[in-house]
Amino acid sequence: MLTDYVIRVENVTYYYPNASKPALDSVSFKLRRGEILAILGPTGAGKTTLAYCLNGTIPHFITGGRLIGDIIVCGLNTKENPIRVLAQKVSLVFDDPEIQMFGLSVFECIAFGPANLSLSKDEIIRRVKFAIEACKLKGLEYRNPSELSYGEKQSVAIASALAMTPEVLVLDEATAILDPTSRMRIYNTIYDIAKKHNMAAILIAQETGEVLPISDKVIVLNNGRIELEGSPHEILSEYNKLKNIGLRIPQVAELYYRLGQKGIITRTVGAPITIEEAYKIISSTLISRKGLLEKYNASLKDYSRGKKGKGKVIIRLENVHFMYPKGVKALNGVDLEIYEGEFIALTGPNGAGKTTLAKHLNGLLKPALGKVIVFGEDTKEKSVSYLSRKVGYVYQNPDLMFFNPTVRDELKYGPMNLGIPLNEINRRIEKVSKKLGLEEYLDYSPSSLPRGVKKRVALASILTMDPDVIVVDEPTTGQDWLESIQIMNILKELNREGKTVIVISHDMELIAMYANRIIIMSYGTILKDGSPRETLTDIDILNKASLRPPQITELFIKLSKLGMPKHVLTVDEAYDIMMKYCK
Amino acid sequence: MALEYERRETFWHNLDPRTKLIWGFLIILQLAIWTDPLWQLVTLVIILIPGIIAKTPWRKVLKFLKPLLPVMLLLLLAEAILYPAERLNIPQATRPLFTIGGVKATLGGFLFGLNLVEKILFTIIFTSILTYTVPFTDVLYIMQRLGLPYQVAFIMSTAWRLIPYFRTIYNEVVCAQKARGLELEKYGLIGRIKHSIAVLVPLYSTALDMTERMALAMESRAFGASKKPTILREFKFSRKDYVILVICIILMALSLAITVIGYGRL
Repeated sequence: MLTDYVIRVENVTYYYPNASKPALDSVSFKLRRGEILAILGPTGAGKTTLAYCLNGTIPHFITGGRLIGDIIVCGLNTKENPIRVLAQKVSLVFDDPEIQMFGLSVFECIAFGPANLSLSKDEIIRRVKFAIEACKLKGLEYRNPSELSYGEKQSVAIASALAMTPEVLVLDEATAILDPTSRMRIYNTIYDIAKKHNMAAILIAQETGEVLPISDKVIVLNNGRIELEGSPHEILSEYNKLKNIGLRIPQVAELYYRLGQKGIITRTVGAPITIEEAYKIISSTLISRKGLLEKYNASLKDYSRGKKGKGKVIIRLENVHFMYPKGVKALNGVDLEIYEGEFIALTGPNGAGKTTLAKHLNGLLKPALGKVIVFGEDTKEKSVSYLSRKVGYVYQNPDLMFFNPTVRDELKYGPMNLGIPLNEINRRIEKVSKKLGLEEYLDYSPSSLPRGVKKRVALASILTMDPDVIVVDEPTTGQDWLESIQIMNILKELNREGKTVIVISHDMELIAMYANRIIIMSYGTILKDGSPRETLTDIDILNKASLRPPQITELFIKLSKLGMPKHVLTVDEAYDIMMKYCK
Repeated sequence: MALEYERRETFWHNLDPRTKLIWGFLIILQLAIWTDPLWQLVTLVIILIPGIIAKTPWRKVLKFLKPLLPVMLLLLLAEAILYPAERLNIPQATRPLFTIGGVKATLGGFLFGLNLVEKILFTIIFTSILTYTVPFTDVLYIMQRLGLPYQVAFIMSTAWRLIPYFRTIYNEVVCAQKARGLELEKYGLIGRIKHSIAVLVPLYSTALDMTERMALAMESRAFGASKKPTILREFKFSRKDYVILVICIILMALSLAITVIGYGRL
């Protein structure tokens, strides 16, 4: 039947105004009621453009482009129907909740859409109740949105999309800024809604490991084209293609592929997407080689890479308390020593106080109680500008700092403020731009650059000030996998050259790969501080902090029942262990 | 004003917002027609009683008023010296109160100054109680009923909601530039304006970028689909409201009568 499909995209090609290359190139797919479709792909692949096509933003809001082909949403051609009609069929949720909440209470925000449709009061209240129930927002109806946590705000945004009672819900990177637990909660909510109410959902995301388990279908976009299409298992079996596109491959699938290549496990059923599936495959391999089990001495000493405590203490926090004006307690007695040459990851849920703590390191915030000593000096007595020679702070959102006409001027600004002589500044610009691969962009306007490059410019503009310590707030949020790896590798290299690096992140798999010390925060206190192996395998603490260990760690904790070592942090380690064990 | 709306379960909070606005009109009326500082104390009582019932956080109000006190004192002094006291029709209006450097302050001028100070301070206090007990959106809904177009009301409520958001962004931009060595305190006025570019450009470009994405989000929620969107807020007078309304109306009539008889004014 024709109406079986809620979305039919038929050979769609789209050019943005004045673009010579299409953003979407001959894209076709269909979606049924109750199905969940994951759209994956690197930055600039055309994912958001596709989402804009589905609710008529293209061509009605973004005008002047060229749209070829047809998009039929519940029988309506998007070319012939305005956004406000299509909005009742396809509801979009964006990454930034602030821009999509209209109202001074949660209730008003959710009622905004239905009220715009002039529905009866009873109907609106019925819909709001349904959305609040589905998104588990009970009890928050009359709260002011500004009082909510980030995760709750995004839930409100989803609820307000649901209140339009759409046939299709589209989440465009809607969980990018959330911590792992809030993210899982949202995905579970979407899954329940889709299955219970027979609603279709489209998830655009970078977190393949979390999206694939709840998806029915996957489309991989690259350069505007559909590169791969199929079930999650089928997609993950195309390891080489995914790797080439630069997609993040779930750790268990990566291990499966590499072991399969060596013939350690037989690849039959398709790549695993969940820890449970991977456990089944690997445990059956292990059990078939039972005789070897005792031989394996579960020791991981040779994998340690920490050099914690080797250098001298350069930053010391003593019983630091901090409170924001509205009476929100952000830091609650933090004691911390940072050593020269460390690569520290500061992690914890949204609102744990990570950024607040980091802002104390260069004096942007001064403790209400307690002391922060940076290179022997109390931050209370020094200006931020003075401390910025020692401690550089790279903001999460680069747009908040760019104001110069060119990247070169942007890199010049920091050292100029510090009174560095011009020839030295030029030398630094040359060195830093070379290291960060920014040479070709030096004469570009920073605001016109792609997101990944912007992040590097932001980092470079701090590096030209040549600080000993670099604090980077969420370096990989909103970045695709290759961009994330690229920026982490740059930080690793800086660390190797002697800089102390402090990264704020809740991407557990990445920090497991790079940090040599991990600090887990929650509610303004440090829950645990230690080597990656100590911290990332402490499930109780991670649960308390709304975090999850890397997928591979979780898998090996399960496998430890069979005699495997449980302190495994990366796919490389897991691979080595399996190879050793099975030889 | 000094206070933001807080949702509380008090007798005063639970009244219909229109009742509270009528109370506001009563106070404006009294502040407008009375000039006698003693009679204005009656207004103060009418302000304070609901304020106390609503459990107003007085400390915050006082904190807001504190920096105004020197100005008020100056105003009082100026009026005492400069006001042409002979115009007032009270006995002893021109009686000298004290002299500063040969300039004479009159009793009449002092009382008139006191009246002005009271007007300013009482206005701040009662509007604070209003903003603390009536949500801004309710005011908009009432104005919408009175004929304010929906679009205008929407723009006002969105602007209201974005104030704290932009304050946060502003602080973030300042921090980001401070971390790059910007020290506005170092410069004089001209230098400060020149170097503010580092803060203003990111702030404006963020705001511009945001408006576009916001417009998109609004369209996605069918904004503008109907000329007359549903107004969800329903106002209903309860018995409590009628009691307070009757009291307010009686007090209004009484204040006018008192003034006509010849009291309440200097």
